[in-house]
Amino acid sequence: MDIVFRAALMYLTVLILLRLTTQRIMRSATPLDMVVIFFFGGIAVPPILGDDRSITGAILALCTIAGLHTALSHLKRVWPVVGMVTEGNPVVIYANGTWDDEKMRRRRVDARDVMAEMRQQGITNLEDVQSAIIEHTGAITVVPKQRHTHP
Amino acid sequence: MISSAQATETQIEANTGFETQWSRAETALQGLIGLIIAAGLLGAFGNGWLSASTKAFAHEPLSVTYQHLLRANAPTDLIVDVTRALHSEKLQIDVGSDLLDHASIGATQPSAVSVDATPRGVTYTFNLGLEKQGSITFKLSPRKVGPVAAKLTVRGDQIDLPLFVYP
Repeated sequence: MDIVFRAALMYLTVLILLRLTTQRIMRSATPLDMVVIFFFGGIAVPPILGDDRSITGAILALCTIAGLHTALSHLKRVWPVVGMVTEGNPVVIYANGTWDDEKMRRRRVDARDVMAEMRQQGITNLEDVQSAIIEHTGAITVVPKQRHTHP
Repeated sequence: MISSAQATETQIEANTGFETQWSRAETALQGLIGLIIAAGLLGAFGNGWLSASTKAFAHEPLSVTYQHLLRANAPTDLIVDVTRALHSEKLQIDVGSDLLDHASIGATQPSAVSVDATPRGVTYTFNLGLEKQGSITFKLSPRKVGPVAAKLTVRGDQIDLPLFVYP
């Protein structure tokens, strides 16, 4: 029983801390972000299992985390606020030549992150960008300006 | 339902037959995960309501509190409580060999005065002091998986503690 509670507590703790720390882990494998995942993984597991090295204990802990994850995934469809808390909302950080420094500071994203995403889409000049959005997944979407072709 | 042809003109390797079967399997496995969590919360895998047991000796003022569902390589406590003052300061507890075959007793709290091997197992002798009362904790580390017919004997009064050790 205690394993279920410990696994649930550590899952929610890591989820909240990851949400507060960085959202870009799966999108940008920079050392700054990856170091968080290594340390969180290493620190979160021992308190769940303690001295317990049994297969049953490990399965119970894994099932608890899988169950919580599935439950939260369903809950965010029913109550969007769950999704907003656990994943966040899309935020526009660049539009029509203007950077939103306040939002960038809050999301801890700088212009280089946007430039990198821009180059991956084959856009080489910031003047060709209409807007840049940080998605709730942590991805940066770069929307190119519409080109009006004259016949 | 939107078919892949309606959704996009891009050629994709859709396999609706597999997706339907996988969806059913996924639902069943999610249900199984829910059952495992519920069973874990109830203590079906140890450390909970379904697992906790207390048994009293028939003729001695002693009771044993233990988990009858254990996990291999997961330490657990077996506690012998002296509910009424004994006649002697010394308390001898014989631990049956079947328990010792399946689990090791790493330590006792308080420490035993002596530990002697006998043909039927091991005899632990404790000094209860002038109060002739107290509580003795055996720190068990189950090793072998399967049912265990654990036996404790105090002054000829034997108590059976059926256990089961999960992997």
